[in-house]
Amino acid sequence: MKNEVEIVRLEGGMETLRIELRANGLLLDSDNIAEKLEQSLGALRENDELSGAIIDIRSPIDSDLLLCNELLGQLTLDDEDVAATCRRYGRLSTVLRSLECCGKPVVALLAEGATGLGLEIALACHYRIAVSQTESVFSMEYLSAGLITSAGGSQRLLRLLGIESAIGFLIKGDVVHADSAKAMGLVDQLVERKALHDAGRHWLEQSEHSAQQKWDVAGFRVPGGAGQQTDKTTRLFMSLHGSTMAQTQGNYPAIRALIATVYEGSLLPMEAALRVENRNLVELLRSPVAKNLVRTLKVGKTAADDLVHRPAGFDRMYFDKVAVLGAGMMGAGIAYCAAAAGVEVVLLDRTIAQAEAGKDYSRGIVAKFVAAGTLAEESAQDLLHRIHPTVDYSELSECQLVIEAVFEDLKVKAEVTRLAEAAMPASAIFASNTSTIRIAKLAEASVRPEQFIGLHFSSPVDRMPILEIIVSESTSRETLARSMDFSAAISKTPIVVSDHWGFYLSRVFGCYIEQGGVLLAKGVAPALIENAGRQVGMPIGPLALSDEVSLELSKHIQDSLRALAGDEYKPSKALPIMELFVDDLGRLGRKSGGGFYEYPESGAKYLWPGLKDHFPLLEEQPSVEEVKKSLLYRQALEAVRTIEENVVANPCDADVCAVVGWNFPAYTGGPLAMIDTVGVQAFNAECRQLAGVYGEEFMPPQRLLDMERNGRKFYTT
Amino acid sequence: MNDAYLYDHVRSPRGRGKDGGSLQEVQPVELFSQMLRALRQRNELDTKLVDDVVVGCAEPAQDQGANIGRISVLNAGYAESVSGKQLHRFCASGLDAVNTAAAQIMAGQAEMTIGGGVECLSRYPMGASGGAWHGNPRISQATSFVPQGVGADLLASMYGMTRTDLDSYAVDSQKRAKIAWDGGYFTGSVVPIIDQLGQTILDHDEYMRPDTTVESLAKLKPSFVHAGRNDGYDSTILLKYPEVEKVVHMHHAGNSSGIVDGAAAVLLGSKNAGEIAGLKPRARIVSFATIGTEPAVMLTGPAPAAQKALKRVGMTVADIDLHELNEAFASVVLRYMQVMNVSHDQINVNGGSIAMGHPIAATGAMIVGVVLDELERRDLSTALVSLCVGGGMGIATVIERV
Repeated sequence: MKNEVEIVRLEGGMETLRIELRANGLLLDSDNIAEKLEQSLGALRENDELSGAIIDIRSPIDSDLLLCNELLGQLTLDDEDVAATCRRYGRLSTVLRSLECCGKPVVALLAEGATGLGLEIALACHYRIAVSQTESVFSMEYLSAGLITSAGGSQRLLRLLGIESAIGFLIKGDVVHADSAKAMGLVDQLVERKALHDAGRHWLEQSEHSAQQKWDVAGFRVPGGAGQQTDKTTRLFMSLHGSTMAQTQGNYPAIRALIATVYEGSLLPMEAALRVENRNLVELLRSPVAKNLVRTLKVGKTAADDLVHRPAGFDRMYFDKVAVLGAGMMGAGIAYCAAAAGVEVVLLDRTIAQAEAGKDYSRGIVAKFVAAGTLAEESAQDLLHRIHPTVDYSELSECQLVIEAVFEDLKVKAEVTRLAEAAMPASAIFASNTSTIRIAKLAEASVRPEQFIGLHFSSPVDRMPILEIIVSESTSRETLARSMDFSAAISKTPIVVSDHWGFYLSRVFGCYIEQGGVLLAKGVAPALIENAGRQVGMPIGPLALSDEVSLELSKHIQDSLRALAGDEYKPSKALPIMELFVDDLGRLGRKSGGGFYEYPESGAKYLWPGLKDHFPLLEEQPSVEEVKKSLLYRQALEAVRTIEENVVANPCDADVCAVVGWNFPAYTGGPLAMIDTVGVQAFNAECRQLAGVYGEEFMPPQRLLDMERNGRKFYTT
Repeated sequence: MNDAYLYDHVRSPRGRGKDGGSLQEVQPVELFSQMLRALRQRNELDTKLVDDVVVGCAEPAQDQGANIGRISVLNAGYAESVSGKQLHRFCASGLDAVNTAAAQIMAGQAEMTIGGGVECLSRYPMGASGGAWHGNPRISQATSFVPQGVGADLLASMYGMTRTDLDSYAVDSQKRAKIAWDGGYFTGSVVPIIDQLGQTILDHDEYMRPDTTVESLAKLKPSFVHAGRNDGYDSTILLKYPEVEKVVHMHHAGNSSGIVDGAAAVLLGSKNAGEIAGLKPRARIVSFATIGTEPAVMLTGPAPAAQKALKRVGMTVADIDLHELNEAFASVVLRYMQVMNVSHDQINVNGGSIAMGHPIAATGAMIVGVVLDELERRDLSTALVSLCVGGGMGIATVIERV
């Protein structure tokens, strides 16, 4: 259901507008709202009998795929006339301004709260009445879409709350309930639901109510000061500059645009301030960042969460009891996620001590939430009661799904598979959390390979939303459907991939670490490598990440792949470094002896000074731009290869998995969206240059050469 | 081109630049007017001979606002014909005022001028007059704003300086300043500030802490950790310096310039003007230069500015007897010493603003006087005066005794 606007004229001279906004009230179809408001405004101006207006706003928060797609469509601005775009996206802002200045009172009724555009419209009214119930929410969050307010929300909010509160609310994307909204000053009055309309009418009838916003009263000053007028505001903006740069590394324009809009607008009369907001919004609309964020994180992720690719024809499955084999870090995390979703979990390991240790992980997490006040003690206990540590495979007898998260070794996995399948129900699914061993290989130990599937979680499982579902040739469609149901049950975002060595996530993500090693071996300064990784938008440098994963584990994976994959094994370019560190230097990673970094008892980690002895520095260092590109492009090229090899079915899956799965920089939209943004011709040319320096892995694959030739992109919007 | 000669210079003692500082109760205009009166008195100057007065002031807000130059001239009782202006080049303002005043003479457009500066941080702290730069989101991103302290720490981190290096430098500044004061090196040029009844309000640099040791400084916590970590400026500056692993925070109040109030004025004139006034020139302004350097680190301007000023007149570092570089932060001076290959016994030989304080717009004019007095005391010839400056600028002036 799209936006709806209806004008109803009531008796007693009050014209009522009912505006319904769906979804998170983003920049959706505001044209029809603007048009209706223009009509109402006309009526209010011309008709003396009309004494005021009531605007009934409904804007529930909703993450609807249809509407996300609509938003994406609004961001596709090719070859547009800038002035026309400014007018189009300023139309609602303009009419709202006229409305608040028309001289007649306008009251907003917010039965369900107000979000996004709904709240922006409400702020342009002279009085806001909401319902005192916990379900109603108030927010004005656009940054996640790479956008800012479009209908004067930033300007009215700062004039209402003062700069500091307004910026806090806008940047954090706070979602507050009715009581807080009233306390903050977003809402003027709280009433019972059934009294809402009467309250609105009553307010209009009070003749002493001014039909003027307080910021239009002569002598108005922004509460707490505008711009640099006070020490406090100056210091606020100074600290925002640095913290924004640190957070975004200059890669996300919307937050800076928002702060600049507040700063600059606060010093101006409203009309000029609204123009400042409009210009900043339009600039963001034309930026690829907004489009990339919306396409991947709104459209793509929502589609995946909605199980768009779930095989049809199977009823939705609900999970009462599952089992996790292996109570190490991964198993413990999977158990937590299941228990948190209300599912009983059998947590099995070789010894009861190890199984209990796995449950301790959940104990630790809930304790933190309880201490923070976000989880009731009772709920915490309920969660923990759902986890059953054991050594006894017979406890699997009622489990609908068994997830194996034991050591990454074929023999160990085969043993637990046999033991589990002997005890679990014949209809149950067996899933492996393997990150690299082909499912078909693991399924050789299974008596029911059609019910065997890969469920590859990311660490730390309780916080990483992605779930890579690996389908082997024998896996049935029903098993896939059920597995996706489980993913939805535990609120993970599933990406379905086919059964190739490394699958998708580990294979492509691994290129980041690998390229870090390549750069180091080449003689690029370690500090430059690490800074480049962070500055291009990865959360951590490749060398630090390698230490986290542990060089020992990385090497083990290589050894394992070499043994299992036979001819298909391609050694990582960083293998010599792994061997040097693990075999020769005894530097296994963060937890044992340090790795690329030293980890002192107290104090921050620092790059191991010994690096330059093993990796002499290049006389002339590459530019940080080149290092940044090499780190992202290497991943992108591998992602393209996975498309070529049908490891992932489509670019959207590849991009969602990258951004959600390993924090590939969201502003790019993902590795393939990045190629579209750079332009495949430019991308290929840059890759050839990088290949000359860093190796043939950078040569553009055939898919990209074809795309260059026939002018194709990965995405049409 | 005419030569501009330095005939006399005076400076006020430096009062602590916070509430309770001795000069806080002296109005800014009055503070600078006392410098003008001193110059008149010491030289029996017919002020009608003065063409223009250029006064640096880095926080031109309220009592220091608009044009403190002309107002101080009127308040000092100078001839009405003497014009005045206020000038702003951040920390370089005082030296820039001297250079600007000299330039008018060198260009043949004035005969006698005064260049100086005044700053009352106790009344109008840094930031009091706002800024085009640091508070404005759009502009600060476009121009790479990073607070100076973080830049100072980056400089130290990049060029291998340790906390002890910085603190040892600071202790030397304190020691040298004490020796200079006790030895009377400054008494000929520091003019006590008096009240309207003629009583002395302040006659010495009250910010000094001569008992400072490396051990006592070691106890101080670095000052710019919050700006660097909480406010994200470490990450911000590394965007410009990605080859640096991290910013190590080493500067604190004890090894950075002190916050003080002060004023200074330098009397300049052509040879002819000096003769008419019956004055003997003490030095000649040989050359001066300003330059811009990378704004995020902000503090690397002095050496390139110095080199620019030297090159203009075919000089090299070897021709310079004494260097005087404002001690904004210890790392600034240590870096200059590295680049210019200058040893510590050639630079800031009587201490600097770490010990005595940095009254922003006045400092440049003060340190011209400090080094000239020392050239005279040691019977040396040439000095190079420089300062690091906001926005990544640098300024330098070469003077030569006559």
